[in-house]
Amino acid sequence: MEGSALERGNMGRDKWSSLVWLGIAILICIGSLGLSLGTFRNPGPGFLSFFAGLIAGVLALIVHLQSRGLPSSAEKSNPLWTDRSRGRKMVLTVLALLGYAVIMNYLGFLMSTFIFLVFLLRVIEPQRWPVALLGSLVASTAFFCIFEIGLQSQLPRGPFRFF
Amino acid sequence: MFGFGDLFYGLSIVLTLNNLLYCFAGCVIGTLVGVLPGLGPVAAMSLLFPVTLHIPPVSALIMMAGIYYGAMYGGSTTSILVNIPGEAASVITCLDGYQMARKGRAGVALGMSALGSFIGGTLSILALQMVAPPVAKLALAFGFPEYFSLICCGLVVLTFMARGSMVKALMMAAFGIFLGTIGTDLFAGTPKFTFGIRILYDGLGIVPVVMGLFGISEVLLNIEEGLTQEVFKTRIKNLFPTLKDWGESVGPIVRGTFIGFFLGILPGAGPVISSFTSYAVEKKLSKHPDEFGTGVIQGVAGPETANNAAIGGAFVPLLTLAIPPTPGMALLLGCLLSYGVQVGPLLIKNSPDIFWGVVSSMYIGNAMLLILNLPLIGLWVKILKVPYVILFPLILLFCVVGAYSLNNSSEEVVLMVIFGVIGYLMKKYAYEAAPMVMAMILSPLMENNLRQSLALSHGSFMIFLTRPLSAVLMITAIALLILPHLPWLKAKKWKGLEETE
Repeated sequence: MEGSALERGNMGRDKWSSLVWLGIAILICIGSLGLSLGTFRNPGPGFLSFFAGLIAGVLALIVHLQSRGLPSSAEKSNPLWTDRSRGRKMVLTVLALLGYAVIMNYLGFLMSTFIFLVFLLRVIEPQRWPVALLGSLVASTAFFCIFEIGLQSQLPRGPFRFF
Repeated sequence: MFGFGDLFYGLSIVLTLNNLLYCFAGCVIGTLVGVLPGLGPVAAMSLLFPVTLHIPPVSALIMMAGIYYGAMYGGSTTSILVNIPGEAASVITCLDGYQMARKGRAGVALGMSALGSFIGGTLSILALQMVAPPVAKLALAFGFPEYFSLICCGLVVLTFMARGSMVKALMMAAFGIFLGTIGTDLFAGTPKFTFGIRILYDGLGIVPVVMGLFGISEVLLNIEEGLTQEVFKTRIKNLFPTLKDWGESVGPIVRGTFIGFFLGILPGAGPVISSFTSYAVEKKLSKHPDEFGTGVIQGVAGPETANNAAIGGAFVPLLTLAIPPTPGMALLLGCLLSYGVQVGPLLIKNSPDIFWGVVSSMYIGNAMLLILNLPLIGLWVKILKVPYVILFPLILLFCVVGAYSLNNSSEEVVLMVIFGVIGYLMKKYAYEAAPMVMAMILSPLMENNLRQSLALSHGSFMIFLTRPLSAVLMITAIALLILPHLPWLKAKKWKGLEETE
């Protein structure tokens, strides 16, 4: 098969990604059947989602079959992460975002934003402590003033009502 | 055909202090997100969406539209000075724009880019004014089957225009249709795929999905791949092109306007494909195609004109048929629906203030952008020097606050992060997000029209082929599905663009 190393690498990855999409498509079809498909004359709530899942599943299968003819080296030639430590940072950022969404309701916007920013500036892109602390304080206060006071966005208050 | 009365009516809406300020704010924010790599216009628009719920719909749309076309101006600055495109439509400007900067012609490149953008943007608004009313009149003849066929055709065109695999793009569109069905069934009142999660009963919110797929995913990708930007050190002088530069650029600007406007109308083409096509055409027409990529002004003038002209074109299907051709337009459609505006062929008749107000604001916005991008270029260059370590926490924070403010719910933030991860993986595995987003937005409309059509025809799918307009659209869709698989066309598809890349 012709094509660049990058294309072959992407197609190597397709082998697994298409299976994930196929799995999701099957789940969509099963879920839609549970909602009732109805009849052609009177389609039910699961009608469109079932056919969307069916089409997506068939297409995922085509992508999978297209990628099967490739040697396994094609997949290895283009790994998902070029630098594992940076990949770990990406995962930590996602976890920090999820954690931030959770603690926001308990600690309030100002305090949780400060903690979130300190984490980003110390762990993800490491800065000196004074820079991280001062930067986080200024940014979280500025956001609070713009959105809560200026645009009246009703951000979460937390234990201290004025925060 | 429009009359000057309509234009003056539109101007009377825009020329109020409030609307001028919203237009200016949109242009400034648009230029800013265009200049800054890692935050595109779609993410910026979704970010501001919750804020716009507090202002009149016309003002909100004036600002949102300003962000969208403003980003096209700003994107070129980064391409020319940093060799990193500020947003996707300016990718091609890197080739010759950056080389011009290296040769000490950064000022001319920036100037021609701004002037070309202004000319292309303004002429495309004129074309939008002339084309939209007749298209809207034609669309009045559309019934349920025609609308369903039009959506199918639109989605197929979108996947046909996809720059990667068409099969993958179709698959993403199918998943998008599924995502759009999440919520409460309009006919039976049954919850569909809501899993008891409160925020899903009203359907999957477009803002967290778009912000996740386009904003968060971009930041995650930059963190993982490490974004380094170095502004090319040069004195920016002589912003106004010489007569010789103009002579070389008139042709590309005229062709770029046509290419941009007409490709902008097509689903999926938008500013990105328009700029690539313009570059490919200019290279093909040039007597010295080998000079492209070494810093020729035609390589900047054509694409930059085309990506701005595409915005005017993209407004045609949005404002007349309620069919958004790009993710940015899909977001604007979502905004219009949220404001309670009836979008479709009757928009011009029922809400002339929205149509003529937004169209007229684009003339003023383009003039504002010319001023913002020529005399104030130094300011944007300074902003370009802000390191990414400062930018990325702010981008994340903006996204979180934007998602939270929608319903004052952290569940929206979690949803956005989930779609951020999905978007990141889609980028890594070369799946395009645009077909998914657009199918998701069109899905409720598609479902409604499909079910109504089948009820009308007593369950016969032939209704889509027996009505002439619907049949034409369906046959076009089927032809577009088959054409890329014909061997002689398969070899030709995007050959020109691939050469360019």
